[in-house]
Amino acid sequence: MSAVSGAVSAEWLKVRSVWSTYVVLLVPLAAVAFALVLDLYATVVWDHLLPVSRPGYTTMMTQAITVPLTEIAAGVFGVLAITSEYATGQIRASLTVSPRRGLLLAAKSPVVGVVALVFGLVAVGTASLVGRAIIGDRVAARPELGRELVLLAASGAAVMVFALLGLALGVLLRSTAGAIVVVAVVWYPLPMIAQWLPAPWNVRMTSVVPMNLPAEISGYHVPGPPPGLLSAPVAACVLAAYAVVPLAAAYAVFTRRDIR
Amino acid sequence: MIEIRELTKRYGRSTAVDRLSFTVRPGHVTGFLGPNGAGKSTTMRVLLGLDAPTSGTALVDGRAYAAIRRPMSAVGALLDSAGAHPARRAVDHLSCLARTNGIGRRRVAEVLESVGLAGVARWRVGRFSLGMRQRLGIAAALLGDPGVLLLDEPVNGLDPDGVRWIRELTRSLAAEGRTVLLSSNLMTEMERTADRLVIIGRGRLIAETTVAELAERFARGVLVRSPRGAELAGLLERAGGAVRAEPDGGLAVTGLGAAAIGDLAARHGVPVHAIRERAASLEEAYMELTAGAGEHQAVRGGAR
Repeated sequence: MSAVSGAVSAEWLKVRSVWSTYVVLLVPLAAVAFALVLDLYATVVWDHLLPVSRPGYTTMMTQAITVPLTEIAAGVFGVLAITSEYATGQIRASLTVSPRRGLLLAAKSPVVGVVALVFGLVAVGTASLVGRAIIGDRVAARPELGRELVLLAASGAAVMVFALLGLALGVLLRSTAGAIVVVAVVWYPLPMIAQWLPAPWNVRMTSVVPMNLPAEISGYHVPGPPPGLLSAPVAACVLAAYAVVPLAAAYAVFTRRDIR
Repeated sequence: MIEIRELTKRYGRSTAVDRLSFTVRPGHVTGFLGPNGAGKSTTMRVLLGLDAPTSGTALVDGRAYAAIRRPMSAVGALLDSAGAHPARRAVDHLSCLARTNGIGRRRVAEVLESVGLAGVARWRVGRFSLGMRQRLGIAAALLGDPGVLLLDEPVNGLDPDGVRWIRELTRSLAAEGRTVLLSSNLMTEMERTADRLVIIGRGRLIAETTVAELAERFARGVLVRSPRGAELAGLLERAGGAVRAEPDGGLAVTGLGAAAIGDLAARHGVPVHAIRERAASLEEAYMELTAGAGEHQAVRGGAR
């Protein structure tokens, strides 16, 4: 076994051998279940509506529930992947057996990223495709399937980005609480604050917060003004930057700083 | 073989290790002693590449630790407490470490057996007592069957059985030709386990010696009691001994053994009421050596 595959398989075992992974990833499952219940409810309401009332009826896009909750759960998962090592002293054992610190981070990032991506796609995908099947042709206000698949992929990528952002912040701050707070700020308060900035900064800022990037990438938006100013490729690059820039900083710090 | 050369480590303005040099050779258990805050753990962390030295070098078998590709087969380390996630099963904890060095499951099972944790391999580490955690840490250190072992305070929290187990284990590892460095702040324990000693205080080397040498250096001669002390003192001095009168009336004799003193007294018909070798306890020797070198010291009979 090469050093790289050994390091990756060790990180994979670390992830799947602790409870916190399963607990954190249960949150999105609960959100998916809730979203599907909402979809069922919408169909029941629809079926009882008089035909004349139906044209004005729209349902909520349940991604508004599943995507953010999956994102924040993935962020916490990414944070814990490293801060649990600092908190328990495991980090010293890990680096003693594997003194190439870059390798440790290079093995941890893909494991955390892939687990989050798969989980994000499953959670968001189940919610949107099963939800689509439940709604059937009742409500017209949904994107066509092709576009919804792009939105789904972009949302899955956003979930992965949150996990990697969490991992990077965990490395930089070495504190579970501190890193989770920063992830949470980027997740929700930042987009909210951006909305209330004076024009034109409100639109500029809301265009680059992670919350809105999947919609910009897929080009899908509910009737009304577009969610942001970015073209799909630019939005994809901005989303990637939320993972890449903090990870690069984490790598630079992690390979130089003393392990307490 | 471990070589520490002119090693200095500063954290901000405080100097944890100050131009420290010593060598740890294979085939012996070397005790690494010093009061709390003397720099033992820092030295070990620098040796393992966890902390970068401010200056100087720390080498294992002539190499910097971080340059060793599969370090588990070169060095096994136990740093204070096992350093394991409490929610992880013991066997998974060891497997996480083993996989990075391409060590298989069979070896993991073997070391669990050898440290006596085979029956609790599937327990989560959080359920372990302190003693079991130490055993788990030792198991981790032994995984790669390394030629060098660094054990930081391995007997912390162990019961007497555990202490004896560590003693026998480290001695047998050294007897197999391995290099064993064992840190502690307790001399009494080192006295029975180690052959060689490296004593530091405030980050500096105080002594690099053997247990036997230290005992000899701090031997305080023979105590003799006699009702005819002055006469005996004269005899002993003429025979080449140095005699000092103790406040309680005994004579502290150096330069002559107990047998020679007894024979001399018998030859001259001087009665002797007591004769006793005063081997300094290593504990006292250690206290004397490290006096003033502790980081935090209680003021004796201190102010209230």
